[in-house]
Amino acid sequence: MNGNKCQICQQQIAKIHITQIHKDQLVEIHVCPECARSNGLSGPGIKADLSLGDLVEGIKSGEAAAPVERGDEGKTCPVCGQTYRGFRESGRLGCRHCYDSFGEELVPLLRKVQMGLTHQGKNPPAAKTPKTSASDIQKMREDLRNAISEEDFKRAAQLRDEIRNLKKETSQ
Amino acid sequence: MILEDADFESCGWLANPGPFKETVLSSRVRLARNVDGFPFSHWASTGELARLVSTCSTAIRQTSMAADCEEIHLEDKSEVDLQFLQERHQISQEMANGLNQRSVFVCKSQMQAVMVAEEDHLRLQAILPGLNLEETWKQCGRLDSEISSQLSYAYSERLGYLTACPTNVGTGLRCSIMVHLPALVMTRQIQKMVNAVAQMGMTVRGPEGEGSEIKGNLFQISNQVTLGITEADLIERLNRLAGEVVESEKKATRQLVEEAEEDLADRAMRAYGILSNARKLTSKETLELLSPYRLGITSGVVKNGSLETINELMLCTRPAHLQKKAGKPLDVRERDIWRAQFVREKLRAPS
Repeated sequence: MNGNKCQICQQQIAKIHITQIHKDQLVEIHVCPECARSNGLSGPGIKADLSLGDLVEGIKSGEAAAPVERGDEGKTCPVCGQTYRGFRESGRLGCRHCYDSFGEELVPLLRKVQMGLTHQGKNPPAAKTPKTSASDIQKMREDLRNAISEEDFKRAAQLRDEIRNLKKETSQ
Repeated sequence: MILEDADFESCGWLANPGPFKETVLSSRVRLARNVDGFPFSHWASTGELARLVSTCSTAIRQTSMAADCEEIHLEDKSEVDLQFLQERHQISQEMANGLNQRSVFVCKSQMQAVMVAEEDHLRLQAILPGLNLEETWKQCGRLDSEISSQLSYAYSERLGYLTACPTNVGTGLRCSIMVHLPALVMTRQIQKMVNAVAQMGMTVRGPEGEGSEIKGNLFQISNQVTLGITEADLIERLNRLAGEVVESEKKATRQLVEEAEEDLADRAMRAYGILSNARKLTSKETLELLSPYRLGITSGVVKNGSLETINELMLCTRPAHLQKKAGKPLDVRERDIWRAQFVREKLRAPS
């Protein structure tokens, strides 16, 4: 491959050769050290994954990857406050209740990436309460005080209820 | 102790012999679990994370794994320590760079580990040498049952185990094998294999997982889906696929031996020549030279080599391992010199 031009700048000699599997295809990328650095393909904390994926898309089609279907981006999970937009940007939900809050939006995604929409596997034993110690309740009280001082009353109310429930359970 | 011991022998999942070790380096099963009543790790406040870590640690300490494992708090560890754990597949890349409140429980054998406050609250893993998926699943499943008797998981009847990323929801199970496939690459059958794997709902990646570069003909094959299928089915599918991959690699190796034995031996011994004489070696070059030498041994055209030594060189020449051995931080150039010296010593030592 020596003597070939860099696939990004098309000017310098490609000295870095990277092979990856992208969308089930073996892809070889040949780039110069400068473009490798500026695209995050070399150097400390190498993060070839996403950038190379984007790059492959760019090189193959000459444009950015197609956007995924959009749902109601402003929708917010009432329990944790994560938004659907936030999920789309980070790829992560905020709490278990997000699965209900964004249920409609998640179905097409699950349909695309999963084999079915219903769990077929192992079940946990009947629900158990997490074992909570006095020091945990103490920490929750601190969180509650912080929430009040930050005027985050929704969070404060949640914490108040959680502490109340936990105290009830531990005294049983 | 785990962080102080950079010897190959302490890495149970690679240092011990396993079934089909010529092709399959290791089998791994990972389960993603979250604790009910807490937001997912990246969304939790510092206070919530501290409580989460304490709740999870208490539960793990009650399992049979506890007697034989070490809890490592990651927040006060050096970059080399974190990278070392990652090179041994005890923590993920994400965990090595991630959140503040994190810990990992690692078994002395290094064949079981639980990451706490990773992308999911708990990432349980079992990793065994060679092709041994059923036993790997059995061990990971047992650990999961023990932990679930101590705390309540985020679980729904319809969607199963609820995870931070919907690509893990359902079983939360990722099973994978690490394979060395030089003959399929040399005979240009690797793309065919990648396609066949994709048709079975599985995926092929580089040795460090998603998005990693393919080096030294090492590949990781794992399931893609986690919902709508049972754990046993996933394990069985990957097991069947692994059998086919092992068989194809064997067939391609036989073909190479029949058609070009001298060339195969020549490539292996040239690689050996460089490895045992070079004064500087990069990490990538080392893996790429070890591959033809390893194929020389597994195909029988090289008589005196040892697979164990090659596995040792694959692991112990990685940057954090070298720095642990040196007992000091090394820059890239110094690492290349230390790596070459380590490889020379190992290959020249009578096996």
